[in-house]
Amino acid sequence: MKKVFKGIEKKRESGEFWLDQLKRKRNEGPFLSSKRYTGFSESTKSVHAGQYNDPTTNALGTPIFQCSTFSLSEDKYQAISEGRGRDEFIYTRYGNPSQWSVQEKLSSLENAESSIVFSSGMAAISSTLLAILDKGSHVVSSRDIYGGTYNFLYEDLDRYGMSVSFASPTDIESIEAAIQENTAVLYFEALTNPLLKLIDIEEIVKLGAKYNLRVIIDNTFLTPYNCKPLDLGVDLVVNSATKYLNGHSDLIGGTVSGSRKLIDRIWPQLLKNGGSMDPHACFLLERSLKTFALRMRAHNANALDLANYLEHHPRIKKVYYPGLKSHKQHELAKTQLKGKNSGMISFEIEGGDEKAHALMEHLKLAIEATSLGGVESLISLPYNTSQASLTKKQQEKIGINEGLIRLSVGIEDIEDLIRDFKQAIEQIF
Amino acid sequence: MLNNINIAGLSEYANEVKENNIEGKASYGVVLDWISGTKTKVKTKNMILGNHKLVRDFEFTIDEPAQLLGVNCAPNPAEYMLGGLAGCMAVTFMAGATLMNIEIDQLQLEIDGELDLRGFLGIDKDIDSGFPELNFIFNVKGSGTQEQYNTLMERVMKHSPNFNTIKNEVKMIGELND
Repeated sequence: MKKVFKGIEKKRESGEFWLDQLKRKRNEGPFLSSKRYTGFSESTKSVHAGQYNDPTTNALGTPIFQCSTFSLSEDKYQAISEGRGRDEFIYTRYGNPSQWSVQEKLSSLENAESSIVFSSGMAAISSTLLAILDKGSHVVSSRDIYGGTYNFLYEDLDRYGMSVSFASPTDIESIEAAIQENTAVLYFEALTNPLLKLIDIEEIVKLGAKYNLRVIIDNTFLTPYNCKPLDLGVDLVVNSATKYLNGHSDLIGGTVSGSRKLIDRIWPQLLKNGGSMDPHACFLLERSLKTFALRMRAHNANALDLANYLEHHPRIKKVYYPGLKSHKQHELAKTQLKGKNSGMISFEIEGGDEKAHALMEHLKLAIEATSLGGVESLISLPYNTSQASLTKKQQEKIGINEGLIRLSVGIEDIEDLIRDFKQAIEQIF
Repeated sequence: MLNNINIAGLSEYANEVKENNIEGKASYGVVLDWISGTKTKVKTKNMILGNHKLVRDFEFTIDEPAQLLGVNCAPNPAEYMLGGLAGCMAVTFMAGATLMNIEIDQLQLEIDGELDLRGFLGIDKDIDSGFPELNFIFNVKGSGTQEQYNTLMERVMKHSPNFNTIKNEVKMIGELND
């Protein structure tokens, strides 16, 4: 039921009824089509969910609704008056069919009631946190989180009368010890950058329930293909859509998914902060998501094979990959990731950062670039990119050792990738 | 939004509570510290709404006028109580007005009462130390009719939590820690 006074409009002015008689309930969405494909598997959802086929022209595929505004009507004025503007098309920052279409596909993949797409991952993260936190609130997070998020928590929360503490993401006791009287949110990344530490999501959720907190998980490194945090009881899941969700290194975007109740709280923050996703970017994202499951299978399979290859190479000192038995949390990975693991690998090469730089120069396929999750393999060194703000000693303290390399394994043929690493390592030693 | 009240959100919340009563449970609390003389400071405790904590990071000072031995630096306890009563009645009135499609241009609520301080001072044991009665006046300008405003006043008296806390008997359970 969308309308607040459906069927009782005439009784409204006499005040015959009170709040308990109001009709509007929270529904999933807002979506264009209600094509959720619930009960279907990942590839089917990726291809079909949320797609809007134009009924006038019968054109297949969601059109790009490249407009800033929509013609108004009595229904829309009524929606604005009642405070249910999120369900109508009024202005593209508020909502646009291209956004709704991709939001439905994302909701289907995340098993969420509702989602919002943003112009970047950081727009999604900052709007989500500002919407959920009240003045005086405290967040418990981890020093291992993405630098942009760390900077927002560490540098900006204070301005809003909020605060943050950092605990070890793998030490549930240290997380519990960091919880204060004013803690409202536990914010963690499902798989950390660059050391690929897993957080035990079910344990974090239990902690949240024990202290009446909200749990927000950044699932960018895993994606809903490898792990569905909402199914494990998390309140909200955020992603940088720039990475695996889009997967083609050709747009910047972010997502948040969860219950309609919580996403409706984030929506007004989106309106205030800006950061809505442009319709053309929505088209690219929705189109890219059609191959999401297919791509993730290739990323995961390539990463597992390449991690195995690197682990057995005499010049590679250590490989961080949750699918390897040598990973400290391999057992947790087996249950939480159900054998899908990740498309990301980190490893340490003999000879420190000098050899790491040399390796990147000699690779012919993996491109030396920041970001991740594209169809092409991307390689970078954490010490001078994601963790560049830390001193060498601080880096070593959190495990960023000399020669550490982060690799986003693409969907190239695995034989080619292995051959490329083989020749590059041979050339530098 | 009419009166800047999100009636859709209120409808969703009412229906949520109907299906899941726990979401209607809201715990409130304050903690008061004596500062000096008649001056005290109140901090709001965190609320629990449903199963989730709401951080309430607010504080205010209370004092008495100089004539009643304070330094008159803040409203007195009775004024805070009446202010809390009026605020709650106003919220209920505005929710009801929006529900009835009445646009409110101005709402002013006056509450007056008289204490007989002989009760506080213990001069006459037959005199209650509380307010024997409170008089309230709604000054309203808006698109509603007299009849609609009368209905709204009835709604306020029936549904305002603070109004009913003061009107009805509340079980007071005291404890001492020293």
